[in-house]
Amino acid sequence: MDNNIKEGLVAIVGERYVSDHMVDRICYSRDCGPDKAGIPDAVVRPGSTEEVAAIVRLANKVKKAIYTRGRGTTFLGSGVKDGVIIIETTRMNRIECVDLQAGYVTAQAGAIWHGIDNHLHKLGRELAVPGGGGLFSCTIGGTVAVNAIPHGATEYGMTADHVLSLEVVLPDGSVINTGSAANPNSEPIERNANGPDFAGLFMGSYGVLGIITKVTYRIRPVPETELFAFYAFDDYQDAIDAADGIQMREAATFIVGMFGGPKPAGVEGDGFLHLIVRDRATRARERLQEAAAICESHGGRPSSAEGTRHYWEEHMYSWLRNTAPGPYYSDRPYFCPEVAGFVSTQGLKKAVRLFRNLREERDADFTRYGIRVKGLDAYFSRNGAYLWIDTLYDERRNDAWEYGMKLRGDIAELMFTEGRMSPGGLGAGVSPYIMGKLGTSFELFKALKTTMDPNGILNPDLLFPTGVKHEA
Amino acid sequence: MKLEKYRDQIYSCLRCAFCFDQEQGEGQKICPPYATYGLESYGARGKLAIARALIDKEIEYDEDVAERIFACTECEACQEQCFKYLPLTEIYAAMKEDLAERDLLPSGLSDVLAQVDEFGNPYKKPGEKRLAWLPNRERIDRQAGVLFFVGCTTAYLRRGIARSSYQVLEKLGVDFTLLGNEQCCGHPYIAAGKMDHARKTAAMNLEAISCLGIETVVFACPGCLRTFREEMPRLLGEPLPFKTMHLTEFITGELAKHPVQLKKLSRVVTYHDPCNLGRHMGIYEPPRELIEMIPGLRLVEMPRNRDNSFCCGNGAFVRYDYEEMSVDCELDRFTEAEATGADTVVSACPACQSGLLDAKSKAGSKVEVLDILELLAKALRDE
Repeated sequence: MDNNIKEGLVAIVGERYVSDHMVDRICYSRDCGPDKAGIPDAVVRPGSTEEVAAIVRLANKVKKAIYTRGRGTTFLGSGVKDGVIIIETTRMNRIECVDLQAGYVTAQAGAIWHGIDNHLHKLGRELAVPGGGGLFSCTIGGTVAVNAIPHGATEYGMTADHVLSLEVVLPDGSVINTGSAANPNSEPIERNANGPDFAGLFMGSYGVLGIITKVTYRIRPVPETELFAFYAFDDYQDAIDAADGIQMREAATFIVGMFGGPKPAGVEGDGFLHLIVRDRATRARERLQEAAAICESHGGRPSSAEGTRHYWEEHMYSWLRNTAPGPYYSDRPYFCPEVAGFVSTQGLKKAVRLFRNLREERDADFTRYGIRVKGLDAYFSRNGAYLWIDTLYDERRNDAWEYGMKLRGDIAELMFTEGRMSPGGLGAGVSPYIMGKLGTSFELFKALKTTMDPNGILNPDLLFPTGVKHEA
Repeated sequence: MKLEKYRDQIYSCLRCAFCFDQEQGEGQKICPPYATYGLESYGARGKLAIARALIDKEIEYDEDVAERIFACTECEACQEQCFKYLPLTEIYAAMKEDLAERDLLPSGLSDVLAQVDEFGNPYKKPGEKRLAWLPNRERIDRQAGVLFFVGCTTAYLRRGIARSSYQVLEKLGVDFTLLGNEQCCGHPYIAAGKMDHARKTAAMNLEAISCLGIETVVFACPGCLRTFREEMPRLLGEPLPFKTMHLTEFITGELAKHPVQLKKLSRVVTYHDPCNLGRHMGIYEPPRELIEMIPGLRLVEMPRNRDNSFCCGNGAFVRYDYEEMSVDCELDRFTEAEATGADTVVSACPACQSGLLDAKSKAGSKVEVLDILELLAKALRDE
């Protein structure tokens, strides 16, 4: 890379925290997803908000794009381009404040979600959603920036729901605090204070409008009891109706539905529900009894919930299918070009049917390219479901990769139209299929980007893929 | 390229970062080089990205790759956490072999190998002094059921462990012997990817032992044990004609068969699991059982214990090239041990003991650092 830029970066963070060695740069290219990405020119690891701001100012001066990365655990493509600078946030990992009385934790963006939760557990508290996103090795800044879909969503809602305040470095290098913390005399206790909800701009926008450097997040006491149940249904639509009933009665903390992919070991059925209830002991029993009655009224058959418990405690998805992780995950070098998004609970019936039909129509292609369906699973939210359509291709075969990517596009097209699905996470992998459908919202988003980041410094192209235009 | 053999596994890395999970924030460190140097290329996910780039011919082996691969302490913590259960240690070993073939060893490790070549040990010590700590030479090279393989670090640097091991075996009435011309087990060659050298050393040791009718070889050093138990059969292409045991395994068995009166030692101890003994060979309980057997001892566990133990930073001879990392790790581990309130940190490995003693000295701590054999010898001593 240009020596002047490197010297500028070194002057900001110190030599130890800048690398332009190829052996380092290749490690900051791809994330957990299937998308191939470019090789950055340099990796820089700031230790403070001031350093992040200084790097952004330098990047503006030399017109060099920056991509921000926490642990790089998204499946949706962080879209790194050749020749950019990567800002990696994991040195900024301090938990700055835990206020038990006011019920929040403030942590730097690079602190690991699970690490913060471990710390809180020692104090009898937990983050207000238990586990943002699918991978617990994620940073809190990255989790909020992509608005990762959390566990416990049925009762606790989405990741962004519990953000109280953000500290953000804007594309021009200035630093803002959102909500009540915008006033330095106040505490970061309320997001909807001091005017518009600026935090909302930076959640789910993948760092294109600013780099989150600090997060204040709601915490709560660890519930007294966790109870588990598992039901199988002969018709997946009955399972969805049961989940709908449980949602209405607020009888479960988390409902996970399974409507495709490998069936749980030792259980027959067409649809399955895992139920997790967290509450005070008496209340938890009452809620689980109510949820069980709803399932049984829809023809659900109870089965061992050991897999449910393991899944919740170990965070290993294979347990949803009553399978220990080893053989399930290590079978072959598979990667997952997932398509996922929100649908209404009743709308889920159609979305599941659409995918099942597509799977049947493409049986010959699936066989030819060795494509598998890992799961057609739903995290039920408060009023809908987040459906994961996870297909798998074999990473060793280029033709399988090409077909896997085409399949992702086809599924996205189908779901974002007929399936009435709205993606939660976007990323470079999904944004080409959705942004053009957002009409004037997309135009507003582009206008915001142009206004806030006229030099196109922060994650350019990530959510604004070339050639995507507002569909008439 | 040896690495080619692992193509499928390398392609299987999901890049989930569980191999350095919890390392930041208020969490806990897992990978020594990643904890010290912070760049992904030093962690498992990064090393797999490098491996894939090598296989895909996007990069070639060079000094930068060597710098990352030889920083690994072989602690196997990444493999323990791996979401996809990948054989990470084997993959790194293949990369080391490829690097060794290309003469890309770091200078400190190269020096170690030169010393093993010349002196039969990594410490430039004369062979005739290897058993100088023995009270007499009566037990050397005699026919016996059990051989005590001392190992270089125990024989030259941590002689307290050697003496204690000897005393304990005598006290328990074990019929044992020692090799008069014991050589390095070959562990440094394996750490450097020099497998032909390791094979020659293994054959030499096997020949020397075979003459004595040995049924069981016992070790105070987990590195030597791992070399014998896991590497030698692979190197020689056949199973060893004797059993191999760490002294903690052997003594636990002996004490179960022939209980002896152990003296009360009033101490609060915490136990550091050596990576070679624990994660590599699954020997977690025998050392703890021995501690529990000694009257008066109270064992308090560190937060990171057994398969979650943190490396002392001294495995695979990394100290000779990555001293900063070794010091970071041993201080981190010693601080964790001290925080338990224990007055004694016990380990079961001479290399770990060296690291922990170094940390104790740097921290100016009064906490005592002992090997489990030293502790046991105290409990068996007549006074």
